Amino acid sequence: MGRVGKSADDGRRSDPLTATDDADPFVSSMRAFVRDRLGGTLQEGSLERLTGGASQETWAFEMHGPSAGNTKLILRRVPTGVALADVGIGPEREAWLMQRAGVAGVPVPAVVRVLEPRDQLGRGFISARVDGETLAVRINRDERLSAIRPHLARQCGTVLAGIHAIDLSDAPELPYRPARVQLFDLEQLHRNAPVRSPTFELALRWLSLNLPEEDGVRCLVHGDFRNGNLIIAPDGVRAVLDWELAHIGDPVEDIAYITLNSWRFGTIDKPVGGFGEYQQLLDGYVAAGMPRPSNATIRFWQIMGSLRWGLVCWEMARPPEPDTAVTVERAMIGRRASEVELDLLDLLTGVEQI
Amino acid sequence: MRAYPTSAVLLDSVARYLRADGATVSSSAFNTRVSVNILELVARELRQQDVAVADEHERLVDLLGEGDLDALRDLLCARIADGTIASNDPEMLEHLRLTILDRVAIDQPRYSAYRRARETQDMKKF
Repeated sequence: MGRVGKSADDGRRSDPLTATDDADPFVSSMRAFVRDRLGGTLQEGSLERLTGGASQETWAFEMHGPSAGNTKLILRRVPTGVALADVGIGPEREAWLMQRAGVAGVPVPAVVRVLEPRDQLGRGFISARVDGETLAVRINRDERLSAIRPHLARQCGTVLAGIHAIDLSDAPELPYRPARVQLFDLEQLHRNAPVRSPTFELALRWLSLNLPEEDGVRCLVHGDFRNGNLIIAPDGVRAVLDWELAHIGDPVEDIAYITLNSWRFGTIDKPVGGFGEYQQLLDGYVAAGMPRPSNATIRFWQIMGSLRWGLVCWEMARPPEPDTAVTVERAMIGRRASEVELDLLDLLTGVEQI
Repeated sequence: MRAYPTSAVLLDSVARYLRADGATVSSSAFNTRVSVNILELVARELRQQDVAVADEHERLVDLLGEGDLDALRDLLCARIADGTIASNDPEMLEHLRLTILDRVAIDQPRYSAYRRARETQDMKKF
């Protein structure tokens, strides 16, 4: 497993950087791109960096014209020079999946345009900017969302059912990642990790003893479906973001991932994202025509997902070259591996119940 | 268990931020907050680690026999991995729990599962 996931601070950071420097080739390329490809004008001073993803950048900007008023847009891009191995399926396939998800009724930002080499902006795509909250802690505590919060888990179940039913017969090639493939990858990742954890060994051992004999159904798995990757507004789930880890595999992986304690952001007694209950999530999923997964299968994927996140924490803190300093964000994420060890132990010993 | 990244690596990242990024326009409230968190973490580590590591070593000797700390840590990993110690062995699980709690007390003492574990432990005392 070459890629190490993206930056996963608590939701999204709230300190946007604004790019206004005329000498910055990125700004001038954006100005030309908006004019030549989108037919509008880049609103001066509107270009701001939203997230400091590990390899992908997300920028917000406003375009004046060609129709009346301003349009709020998002650029997601992999800057030139970043290896594709670090960005999952790549932005072109991400855009394809988002378009297909939109057609299937899954809430996603509308894809406006996929970047081409002549745009000189790296690889990526432009999408609509969906209004709403992405910051997980605010989703779980904001007064304006208190009326919708009890309905979010069920909506997430409905949304997941929609994702898992997407027809992939004409899809671009996606990685096939059933449980046995993921377990193999995690064993390698732990073997090559800077340190060894007895708890991670225990989780690997447990997973190998409980590995399903067959790969099971094959469907589209989002791969990073959690609080922090959703846009929530007072009327509910507005959009599912960050499709870069999508793959073909077991749908229960997604159901389990949004229940990991790391994605409850402190609200430990609300297992689904820190805002809802297992039963609500599963009710929404089943009502949309999907089979109810067994608790044992959910538990299996909780342990797999938790272990993966723990190993990714270490990977993110690893300096790219010896004797170079990492960013403070990455260094601190490294020390979140121990919280995952505690979560794994709670999952393995039944402290954490479904 | 071993702390990763080491406190030296953590401090290097703060120094990098303060030296290079902190002096420029890309300085941000976010990175400043993270830097403060790192300094507080390292301070906790300096205060708490010696006792935590001594306790861990003592438990490992009870579980596995005499040996130096690093060797016993590796041996525990190996025995769990090959099944010599069963995945539901109560003594091993208790050792992991105590060791992890001491580690999270340094790394993320505000973490929800840590607070829950401490509350449960306090209730057992009474």
